[in-house]
Amino acid sequence: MHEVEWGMPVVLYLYFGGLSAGVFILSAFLAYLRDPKLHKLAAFGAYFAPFPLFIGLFLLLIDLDRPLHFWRLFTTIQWTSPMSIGSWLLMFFSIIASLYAILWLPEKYSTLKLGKFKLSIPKSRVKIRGILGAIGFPTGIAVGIYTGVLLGAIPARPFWNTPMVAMLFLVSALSTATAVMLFASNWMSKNTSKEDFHRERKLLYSADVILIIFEMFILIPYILHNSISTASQSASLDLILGGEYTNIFWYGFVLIGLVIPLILETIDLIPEIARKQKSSHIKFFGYLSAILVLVGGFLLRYIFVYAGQASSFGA
Amino acid sequence: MSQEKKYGMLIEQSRCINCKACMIACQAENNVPLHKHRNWIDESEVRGTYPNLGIDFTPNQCNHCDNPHCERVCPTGATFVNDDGIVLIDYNKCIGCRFCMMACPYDARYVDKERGIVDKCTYCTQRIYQGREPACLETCPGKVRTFGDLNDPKSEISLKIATHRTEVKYPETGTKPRIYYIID
Amino acid sequence: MKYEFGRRSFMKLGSCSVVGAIIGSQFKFASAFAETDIKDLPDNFSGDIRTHCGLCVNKCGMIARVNNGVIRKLDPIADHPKSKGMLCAKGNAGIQTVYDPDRLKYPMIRVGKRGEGKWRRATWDEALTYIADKLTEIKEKHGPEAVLFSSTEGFQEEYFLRLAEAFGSPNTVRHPTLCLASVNNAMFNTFGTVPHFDLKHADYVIFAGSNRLESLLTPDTVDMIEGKASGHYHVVLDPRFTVTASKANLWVPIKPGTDLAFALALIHMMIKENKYDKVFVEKYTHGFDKLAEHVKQYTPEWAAYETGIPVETIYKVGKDFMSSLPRSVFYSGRRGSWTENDTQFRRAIAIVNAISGAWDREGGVAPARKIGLGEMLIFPPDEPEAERIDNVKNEFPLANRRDGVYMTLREHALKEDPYPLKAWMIYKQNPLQSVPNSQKTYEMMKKMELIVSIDIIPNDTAWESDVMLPEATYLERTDPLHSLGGLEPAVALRQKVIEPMYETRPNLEIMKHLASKLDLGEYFDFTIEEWLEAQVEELPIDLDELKRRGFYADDKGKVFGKTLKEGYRFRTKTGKIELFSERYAEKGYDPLPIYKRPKNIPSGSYILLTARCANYTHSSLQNNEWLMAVGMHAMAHVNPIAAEKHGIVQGEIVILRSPYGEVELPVYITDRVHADVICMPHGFGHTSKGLSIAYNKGARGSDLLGSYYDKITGNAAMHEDFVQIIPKRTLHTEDVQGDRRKSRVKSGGITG
Repeated sequence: MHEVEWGMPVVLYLYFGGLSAGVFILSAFLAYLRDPKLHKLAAFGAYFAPFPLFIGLFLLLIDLDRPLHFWRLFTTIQWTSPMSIGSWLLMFFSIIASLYAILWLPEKYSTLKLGKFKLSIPKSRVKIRGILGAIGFPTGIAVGIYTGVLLGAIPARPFWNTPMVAMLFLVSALSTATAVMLFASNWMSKNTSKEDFHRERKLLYSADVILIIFEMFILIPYILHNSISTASQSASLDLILGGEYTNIFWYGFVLIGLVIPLILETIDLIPEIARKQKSSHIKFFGYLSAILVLVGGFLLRYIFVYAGQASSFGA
Repeated sequence: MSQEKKYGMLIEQSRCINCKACMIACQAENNVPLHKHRNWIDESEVRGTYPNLGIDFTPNQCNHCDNPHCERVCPTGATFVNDDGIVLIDYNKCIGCRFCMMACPYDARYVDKERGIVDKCTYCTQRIYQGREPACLETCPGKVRTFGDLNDPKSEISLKIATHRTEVKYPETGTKPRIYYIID
Repeated sequence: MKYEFGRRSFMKLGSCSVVGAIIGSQFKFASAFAETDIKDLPDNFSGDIRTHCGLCVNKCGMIARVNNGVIRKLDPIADHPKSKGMLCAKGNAGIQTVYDPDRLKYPMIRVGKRGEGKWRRATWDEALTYIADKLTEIKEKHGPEAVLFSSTEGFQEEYFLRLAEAFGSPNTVRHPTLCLASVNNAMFNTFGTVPHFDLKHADYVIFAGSNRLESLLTPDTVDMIEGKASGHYHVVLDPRFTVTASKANLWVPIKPGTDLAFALALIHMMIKENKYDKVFVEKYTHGFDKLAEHVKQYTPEWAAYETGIPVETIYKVGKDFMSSLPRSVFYSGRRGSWTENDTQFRRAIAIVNAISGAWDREGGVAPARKIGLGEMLIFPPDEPEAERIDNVKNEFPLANRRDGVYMTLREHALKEDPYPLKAWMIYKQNPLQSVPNSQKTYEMMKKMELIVSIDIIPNDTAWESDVMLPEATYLERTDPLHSLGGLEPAVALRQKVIEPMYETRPNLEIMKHLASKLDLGEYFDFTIEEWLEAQVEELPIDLDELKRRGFYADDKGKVFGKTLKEGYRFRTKTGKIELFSERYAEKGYDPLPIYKRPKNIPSGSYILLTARCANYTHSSLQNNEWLMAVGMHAMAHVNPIAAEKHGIVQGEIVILRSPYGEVELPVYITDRVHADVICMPHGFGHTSKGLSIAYNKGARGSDLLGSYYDKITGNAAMHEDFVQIIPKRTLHTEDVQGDRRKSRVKSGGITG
């Protein structure tokens, strides 16, 4: 038993942070495609993106030992501290994501009232949100990367200390975001024409399959690389190769979070790949893969945050 | 000597009998919360087979690194390296994010829940600036530790380092630790 | 009885003057009766006071840093001749003992059944009247000898013993027969004194079972580490791989209870190879020829068979020991006896040191010096009329009568032979844990109409008493001066650094008050101040100067050779160092040590060993939070061979069963113990619910041990017992080491 200094709030923070960034990126990308068939999905993404982030930030805040002093983060920029950079980045991103969401509100909400405070949304909202999307897109990627850099930039924890963690977290963030979109697409499918639904499906499935394959091919070199690295680095791998986190990693993250969704989604895409006919799109499998990917993404953060803290030098 | 001081510590672990006097002395001196410690003694597994056995006791504490990762990662600049090489924390600036605890390869830091901050060994600044020894060192039955100015070639610690084979802990992390262990 | 009141919160409070005033008023209330002998410290006193630790027998010099009436830190006195600038974990944690919320705070009178834990708070007057009435009643009915006074060493113990004397009871029983009575007896009857060892300068030292690095003794522990670091060779004979063994050059695992065979073989080798100091032996010793004849039978080969040590090792140790002479010593150790033949084993050690030529030299064995103190001239009570119940005079003619013999006293008390004991006054002692065979102690308690415990915490015995009286701790009282004997002697002053908290009082004040209730006030017609003034008379410095320094030491340092001077008469019968003890011969004991083979181990059983840990003083500091957080966890140490035999796995809970009781402990399987033994730490397993931290942690050794004792001194023999080990097939889940770092570095690492 080791004492865990970073617990569930941090896990959720990293998870939600990545999720928000991913959903924003997808939304901005879909908007950029200017495909009216995908408009609904882009709008959903825009509305959705800020919320997980806010929950994550709130959890992070209350996890501080002196929450009321959080403002000290914004009195300085420590260029060598991933957390300092990340805090500014998140603040910037949450502003963009919030504004972006507001700009996606339907025309009828051209004026937002909050007591005396009034906010008129400019007429050129589509243009502005295009610009915000363009700024937010790389910011979102930075946020996705940041959630991994936060862990990866620490030589003291061999389990984390590789650039691949940042990559893994980013790809996983995009994958979980895709899953959220997939879930939403399913949920809203009653009001979606078959054609539109098919398009959403194809796009999201294809994206997720690619992302999951990416994740796998980051994971494999991560394990290979660590196992032939320094003694403490290879020792840290024991945590998932026989140690405390082995089952949850292999059965939880790899099998449930990656392999099964990959299979489900690939099966759905086979007719497309074979170019024979349009696939049947069983909704249940859509929901299932979405949930599994989301669970897998969560487990990834959980395993990394906890196992990383258990890994140390001289272990 | 015009040169600035750089404090360091030398640990002669063969003298350590694992009596934990240093841990309690520190606890009292620095008002460390119960179950938290600024210094501690690692006990190795028993080596060898009966009856040829061996066991090591290694005193540990903050290494006051030249390149402290805790300082590097601190988002508010609360952790800093003092002019005399001691790594300190500005308790007003600390928000308790515990990132430094992740970054420390020596696990030398702990959370002081009551004060909502992270804390660690300070080489007993309140004592050494008055010319007294750190509490852990003073109370030790085996006088395991030597404390002093590494920049002064005539200090006891510099002389001992010069005349003994020493090592530092986990140099591969790049922290440039400043607690030396005598290899015997 | 539960007060949420730690030092951290206390310090916060202490800085607040309003709260300070409230606590201050408690102090005043506390000393309502007490004639305040020593000037009261102001409630908001801040400053450094030099005093002496009181948490174990050592009395290390320390400086109390007091801030606003709260003890902030205890630091060692750097140049103290005994403690040599060290203060151990216990000493440092003394603050926590003073501010322990479980402390005895007020006189408490039992209201429920004994041991039930129901108490009512009483005033001092009420509690002492209650005790005095009961004692008077018993005295009238059964005579004063029906009251037993038992106590452990301490600077104020003499007042307790004085009360016993004044009361007229011959029945005092002190700790030595649970401790070093056998060593002292053997040394005294060889050298006429109990010598000290110059471990700082001895080139070659043999330690037999003496675990000086875990059972800390100043200055020996410090000198030993220094000596070892400067290249001295240490050999440790022990069935356990202790810290001392781990630091030694050579660890020799030995079959428990056979150390005497090794010592005799060493004498055999020294004489056979003519390596003893002939000139010294000729001039200063008595009975060498008889010794030489006697040890002829004890060859190294024979010893190898008895001890299980390879014969080459015995030869090697013998050869190295002899080649380092005269700077080789065989350390005598100092603790409870191991076997019923223990005094003879210690005698053999004394003989090795007597013929080696190491006597009274640097790096050898030398008589202690002691700085003389003045004495308070006080009215001496009459000798008690009755004979002691334990009949020490006849049963143990060479034992100290005032100390008594615990093990046999209890037997006499149980049989009411020759008279019954009806009341038990206990000062600073916890017999339920410290005296082997707790069942018998419980039975003895049942015979008592009154049991009174004077202590600072409600220990197991206090919890089973009728009245608990709260003594002020060593940091809250000023004690009589104490002359610490040693190679570098000192006079120790313990002065209070804060006023007594709650309603606690120094023992002298308790004794005075009780004596006045018993119409014995004339025996306590003095104050501590007067006592100190009388003592300090003989010193070259006055009391004020002594208070400033905290201790007094002359500048002579180590002085050797006094007993080697022409015409010196050793305090033995022959005036020489007695290799052949005439006194033993006279009293019918073996005048030369004869080896007795330990009892055969019954199949499936193991010899039970009890171990000490540097973080606790016997059973007295397990309720100290700081110490408990870093200290040893109570586990049964079992050799892998034994574990395999019983199919026991690491961390499993087992039952240890002896004919006298059984306990449960988690198992630690380790090569660090001999395959014939099971070892458990001493002092755990408190049954007192008044100790919130120590309660029910681990197990009590006294529940397993039988009633064996050394035949010459009556010293409790603690390694004569066998236990069976019975697996319970449940795993121990509690975090074994309180220290988080430990578990982080090695998950599953269990230490002891």
